[in-house]
Amino acid sequence: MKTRIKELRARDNLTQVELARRVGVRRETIVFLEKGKYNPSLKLAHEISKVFNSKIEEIFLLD
Amino acid sequence: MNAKTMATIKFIVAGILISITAFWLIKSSKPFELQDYGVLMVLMIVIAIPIYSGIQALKNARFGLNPVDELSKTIHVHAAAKAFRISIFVWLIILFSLDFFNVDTVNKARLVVAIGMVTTFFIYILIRLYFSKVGIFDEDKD
Repeated sequence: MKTRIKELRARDNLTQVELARRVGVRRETIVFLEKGKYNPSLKLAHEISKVFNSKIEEIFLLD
Repeated sequence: MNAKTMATIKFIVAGILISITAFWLIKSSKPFELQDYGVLMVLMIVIAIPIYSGIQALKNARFGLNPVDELSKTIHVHAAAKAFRISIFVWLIILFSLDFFNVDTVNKARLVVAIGMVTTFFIYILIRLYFSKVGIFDEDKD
């Protein structure tokens, strides 16, 4: 799965640590999400979409 | 449980293990044999693990992050499941390979349990480290 987290983080001037703190995970989880090496739970995907004020399908893109 | 409490518990566990190792080293009167060095090496690795994870937990605490999240839990579950699956074969291999050595039944049982437990533990740690570096991204094919 591809994600637009890195792009949206840059848009909102958020660091990985800041995003991790806002959604309640470790920084490593954000790193893996950005690399597409982890499929998040629906809850985490929802939390991330709330932070970026976007829909889940706009952030997480199926190959 | 917050990150600082978790780190403290891990450092206490490491401290207890170091104390036990030191006590064993001081009290042992006979010279070390090869198997004693093996036990010492295993103990060193077992001590290093809570120290390492304690430091990681403190790093997370410094940034106000959660030390345990859904990815770490998923990695833990995957590593435990794989270690269990592999350990079944390891126990069998140990059980049959000990037939080639001249070991009495009681010591054989002890060796099977001891080697099996240590091997399973190390398999779990190695798989966990692997998933921590690579990530879990293709769960459907697992």
